[in-house]
Amino acid sequence: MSISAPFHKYDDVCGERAGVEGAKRRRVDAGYRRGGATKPSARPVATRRVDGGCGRSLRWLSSKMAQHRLPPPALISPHKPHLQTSSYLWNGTLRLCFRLVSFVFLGLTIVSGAPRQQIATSSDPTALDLASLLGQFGEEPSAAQLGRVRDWLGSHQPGQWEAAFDEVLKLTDSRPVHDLLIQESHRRKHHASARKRLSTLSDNNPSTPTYLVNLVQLEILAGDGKRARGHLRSAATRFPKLAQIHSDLGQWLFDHGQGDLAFAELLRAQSAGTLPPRAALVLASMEATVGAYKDGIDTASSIEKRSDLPAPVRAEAAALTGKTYALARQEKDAARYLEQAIELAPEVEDYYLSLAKVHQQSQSEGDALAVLREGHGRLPEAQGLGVALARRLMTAGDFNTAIGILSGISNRSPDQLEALSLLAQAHRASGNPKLATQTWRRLAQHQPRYPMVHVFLAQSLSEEGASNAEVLEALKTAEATSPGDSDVYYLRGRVYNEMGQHEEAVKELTRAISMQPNIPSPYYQLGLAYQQLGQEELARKQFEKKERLEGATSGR
Amino acid sequence: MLEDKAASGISRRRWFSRLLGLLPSAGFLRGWKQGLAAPLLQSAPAQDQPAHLQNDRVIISPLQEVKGTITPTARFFMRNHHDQPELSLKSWKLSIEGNVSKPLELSFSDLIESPSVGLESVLECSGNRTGLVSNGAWEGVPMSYLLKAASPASDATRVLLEGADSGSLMKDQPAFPFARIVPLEKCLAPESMVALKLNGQFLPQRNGFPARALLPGWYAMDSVKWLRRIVLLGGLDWPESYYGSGMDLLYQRWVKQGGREQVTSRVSELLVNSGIAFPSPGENLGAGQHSVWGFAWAGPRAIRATEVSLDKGRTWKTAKLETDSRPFTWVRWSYQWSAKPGKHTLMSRAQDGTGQWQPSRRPPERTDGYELNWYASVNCVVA
Repeated sequence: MSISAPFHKYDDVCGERAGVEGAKRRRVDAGYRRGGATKPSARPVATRRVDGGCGRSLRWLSSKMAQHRLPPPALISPHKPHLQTSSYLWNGTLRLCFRLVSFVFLGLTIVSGAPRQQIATSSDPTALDLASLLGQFGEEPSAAQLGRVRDWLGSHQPGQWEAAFDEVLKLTDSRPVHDLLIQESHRRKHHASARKRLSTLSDNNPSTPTYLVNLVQLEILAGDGKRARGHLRSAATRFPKLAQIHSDLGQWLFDHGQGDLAFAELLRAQSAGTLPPRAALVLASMEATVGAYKDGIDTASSIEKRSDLPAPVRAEAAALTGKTYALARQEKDAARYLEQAIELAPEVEDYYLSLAKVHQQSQSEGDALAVLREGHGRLPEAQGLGVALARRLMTAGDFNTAIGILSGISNRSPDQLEALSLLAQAHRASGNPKLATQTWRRLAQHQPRYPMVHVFLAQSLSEEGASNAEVLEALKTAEATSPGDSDVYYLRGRVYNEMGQHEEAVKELTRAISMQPNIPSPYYQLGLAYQQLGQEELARKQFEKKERLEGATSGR
Repeated sequence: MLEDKAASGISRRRWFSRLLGLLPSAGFLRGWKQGLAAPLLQSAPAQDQPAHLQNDRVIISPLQEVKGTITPTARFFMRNHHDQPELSLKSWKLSIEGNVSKPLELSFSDLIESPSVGLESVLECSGNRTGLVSNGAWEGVPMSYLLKAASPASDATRVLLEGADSGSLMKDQPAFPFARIVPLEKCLAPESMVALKLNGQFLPQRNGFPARALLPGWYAMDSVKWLRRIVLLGGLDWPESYYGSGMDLLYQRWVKQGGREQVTSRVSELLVNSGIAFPSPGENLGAGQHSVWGFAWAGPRAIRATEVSLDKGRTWKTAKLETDSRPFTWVRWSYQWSAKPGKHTLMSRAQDGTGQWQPSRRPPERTDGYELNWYASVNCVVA
């Protein structure tokens, strides 16, 4: 079996031409040329495809041998002497045994007509010829293909890991495969050996960025931020103009929860060249988030302007531009871009919601309502839009329409708890405390720990005219689930006042006030309690406080 | 109360989802919503407007809104000399120049990827009497790392820190950038840094985004915001932005001696100080037990003790230190007070690790407006 990979000369990747040494290696930097394609333009290809059924049979057999801790045939191939993991003698003996058994097995297979199909579809990892497999990869390896590489890696014992690691690096410059290799090194806790090998490769190939990228990935996975930063600084010094490497790193770091480092790399990529759309939008979000609105707007709108991109991508860019304008309090521009986003992708619920928020921010309640109506008309199943529209309708006093929308949502999706909560409030506001109580009960049954649900239920019961005992029982549950909610004590104080238990009322209301001293209503109830207890002076003070607070509130 | 909640639905519980509103949708930015967004988005300034904005250049920081020991970012004090500059990360650079053998020009990315340190530290305006002091958890690049990378010349003894904000300090003067000169020794101290983050988030624009100097233990004017130049100075260097602007006349101790005013020394290290968070000035309280609480700080020194007076400073009671006393940060103290009806003046004073107490009054010979660290006091009414 003869395997070879095409070797290409390096391109000039960072102002210096790689030497002969580099030219002998794979073209690992192909994807990182300035402004170049994101994928390597050339890949190692097996010049001779692995044979058919018999070959598979052999590999299937060898896999069985590997189960008994024998190295897979690829590792003892004479064409990969660097992968030998044991002594030549041991390998030679193994090879001899293996071939003997193989021939016997092959003979048996031919004679007996063994089920070739079964052998051919064996998924045993060591049955893989890695070079062959990698040679079949397209630009983006499929999950199944990567799974097979993972299996191949998994078939190696700890002592064979370094050889397997080198084999992968030697055979492919595929980023997903390298990512996988680093992940597997991390999973198997082979950080030290992987670090050593990658560092050596990086030092020996100073114009090749791949190894630095792998080192960053390895250190991030290993949780060594200090080392990772060091490698990132090296990458910045050695490859300042390679936008692609910084963009790839930025996206990888972003996907691995390293927000700050991702931000740094995406900024570097942007200053070095053009960012791919996804990376640009991530960067724009980050710029907007840290308050660099102008930068965020520039970055996002540059994507929105690109007519060569698909409409959904441009819509995302337009929406992000609009949202950033909204953060910068430039509502007109925000609305303009969000309208554009809706035009480009009318099926995205978020754009209507964002545009409605912008209108709300600029006090255009009517426009906000119109946008939500439009969105709800186009996307009647979108729950977020329905809830937002219902909320706005309630604010506008149109409870019946809101109830219709919310009933529809809560019937379709009983898990939409916000809709249920709003529905209860809508029933209450439209003068139907019984329906409100029913809805709160439904919500409480469905999600007993929903914030304040028992408080609202108690309030609703109280308004519905339920017995004081029933209200107190509901408040008991409310206290257990929301002990920090002053409303529990306020409501209980009010009930005690109604029941004529004014001393108890004073206790409860004092507690409510100590928890929330700036709310007027408990002072009023406390004043009533003191009045009934004959403490006129104290009662007067409470009423005064209530008046003062109400004045302060209304003056705001 | 309940009505308020009903009006806003239960949305107060959904603040986080509102913050996420900035994000692109439909999984296009997969990963953004799953962890990265939260810390970043919480610093979205437009959603985080300070409530105590006095004007464009001053934000008062109320002590009573500090939970634990860290001042929330939105409540962090601000005091600017000039208008806030709007900087672009695309063009912003921090240069390290002057008496160095390897001048550097660092981008925001360079700083993010440099070694970082974290420190909890008080920042106090040198003219603080109340409301111009805050305590934050800072992260940034050690200034010593950056300065050493630039290889300062052996005769470099001072450092000019220059911000991107500019204006005239004196009438009929041209605009100069805000700048401070500090000893190299302080910049090389392990606590000094170029700060990038406050309370886990990148600095808000008003607090110096993208980077500011942070010299813990020193009054805040030297922690230059919107930092863009660090210039190493030799003994004879005379930077115009500092001396030409009149900056050299600010932040000096002026004393009146023999009918003449003169500068004696530069204001730098924080003096021991304390503040009362509760009760707040003019507060009406009910009679009974109240926990009086506040903070005490002493710059590079730890706090040894804090005391409270309920009788305008005639007698003092020991307050309990509720948090560890460490250099640079502040300590939270409390005192259980059985309040009786009437008008009260509460005072607090602190003692630093060297045994130095806060003074009872301003030294009469001082004529400047800095280091106003005499006893803190609060008037309140108990009904």
